[in-house]
Amino acid sequence: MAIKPTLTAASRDSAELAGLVRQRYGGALLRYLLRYRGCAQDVDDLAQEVYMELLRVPEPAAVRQPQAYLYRIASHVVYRFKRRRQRDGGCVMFDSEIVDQLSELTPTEASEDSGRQLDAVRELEKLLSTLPPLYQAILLMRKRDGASYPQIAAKLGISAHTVKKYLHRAMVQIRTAGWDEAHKEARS
Amino acid sequence: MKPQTKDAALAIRDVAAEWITTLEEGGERERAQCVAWLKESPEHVREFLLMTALWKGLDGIDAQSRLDIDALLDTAAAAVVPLDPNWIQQQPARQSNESQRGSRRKQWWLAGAAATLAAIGLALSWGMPMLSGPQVYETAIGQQRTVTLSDGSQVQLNTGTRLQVQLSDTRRELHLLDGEALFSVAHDSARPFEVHVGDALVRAVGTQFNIRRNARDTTVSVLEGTVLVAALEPQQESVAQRAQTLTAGEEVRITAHVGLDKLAQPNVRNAVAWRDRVLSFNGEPLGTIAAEINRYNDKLRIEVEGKARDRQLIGVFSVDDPESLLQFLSQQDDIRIERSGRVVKILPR
Repeated sequence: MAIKPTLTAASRDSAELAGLVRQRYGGALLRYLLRYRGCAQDVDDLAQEVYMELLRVPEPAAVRQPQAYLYRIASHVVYRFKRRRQRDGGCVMFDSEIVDQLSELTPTEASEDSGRQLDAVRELEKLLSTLPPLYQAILLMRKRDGASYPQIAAKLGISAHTVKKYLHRAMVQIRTAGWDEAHKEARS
Repeated sequence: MKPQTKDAALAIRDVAAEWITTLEEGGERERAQCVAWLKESPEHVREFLLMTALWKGLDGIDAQSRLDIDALLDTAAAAVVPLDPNWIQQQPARQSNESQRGSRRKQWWLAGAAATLAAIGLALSWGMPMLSGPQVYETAIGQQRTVTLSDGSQVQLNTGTRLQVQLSDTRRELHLLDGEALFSVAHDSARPFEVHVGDALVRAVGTQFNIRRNARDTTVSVLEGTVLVAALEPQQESVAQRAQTLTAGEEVRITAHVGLDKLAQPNVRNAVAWRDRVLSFNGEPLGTIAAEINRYNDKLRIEVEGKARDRQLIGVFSVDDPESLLQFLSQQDDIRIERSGRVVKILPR
């Protein structure tokens, strides 16, 4: 549903639109990874393509901001996946690359957009609740309350190093609990 | 790129998680090392991508601050932080309008300081008296919060709500001054739990119910147990209009003229859908929907005019995203949208 208003905006302010694309686009990848993780094969394919791209690029470009860089490549790959699907579906393509990218969101997808994002967060909250309370508290302090590692460390009376260690374990547990279940289902 | 063994897969996940926090504050050297690690295997790339998504996804976690850090830590291990039990109980007394991230952070920091102080004065604080005067809990437009009362009851406040609470040894008296709240009442037959709302009284012993106070009427929805609803200044003839007992799944609407009116088709689940910050509409007219969305935000004011007001919609909207409704409407052929400042007019075409 976002397509119409955004296209109108295209003529007005392309810089703003570019920002919007990045935002939407990153969101699409995020949802892709969070929601479509059940399709182990899809995520494997994505990782494979991103990996190949990564090997091709000159070192400095990737090193400046590895996370953002990888995310950008992955966004493009997801976009290509979707475009392939769209071509099969006979969707209309636009000239400008930006508008092109926007069209990756079909109206139905876009209308479910906020709902899906909400779903993803809900699901993470469910997974969070399965963690030991200490891990939950650390994750909440960092991600919800924006506390720094030294602040969390001071509150808990442990070292910042240990805080991070617990945080890593918490993330691995969420990752493992959430995704391995989905993988099993997808494969069976 | 199947993981070789379970342990190896977990080890890669662990390293991926480590990179996330390392890159938060790392320099060029760390970034180069991370890229080198990524180039070792597609599996590293996969785990790093998924871990990054997870980390980003966690940004929106528990946006309504339902989870209490100190309560979590309390269950985690008493050994980690010596907490003052009185301090936890008084926590709901923290005044409202603190949902903004910045102030919440500050608040949280005060909490840390309080915990440290509490550790010093632990022995003394056990005997500290409880707050006894009435307290008012408030939420701003769009805000939701959960408060735990000293009797163990929990109250979830929806947007734009004011609730006055006074607990004594013999009574639990609350006044819903504005807005909407969901009450999960701790059982205590010696102290009935009474919520005054306008000219009506809702009384429970141990149960769960939602009260929504509108300008002209009030709706009580019972999720669990039994509550008694009574009109306080009954002008009505029939007993049913003056007092009713509601059980789980039932709803009653209270208006000044009619008194109590039990709903023929109650939908209790829908009545408390607000806890998920979602508005669900099943054929409601646009006028009603706009009013509902306006309840949750003060950035946009949606006004619906003329025939557009009766246009019915089915859909689910996030209360935090009024724009999604507008975007949807802008695609409808029979509707046009005019914006001026924060006012958005929805007009028939």
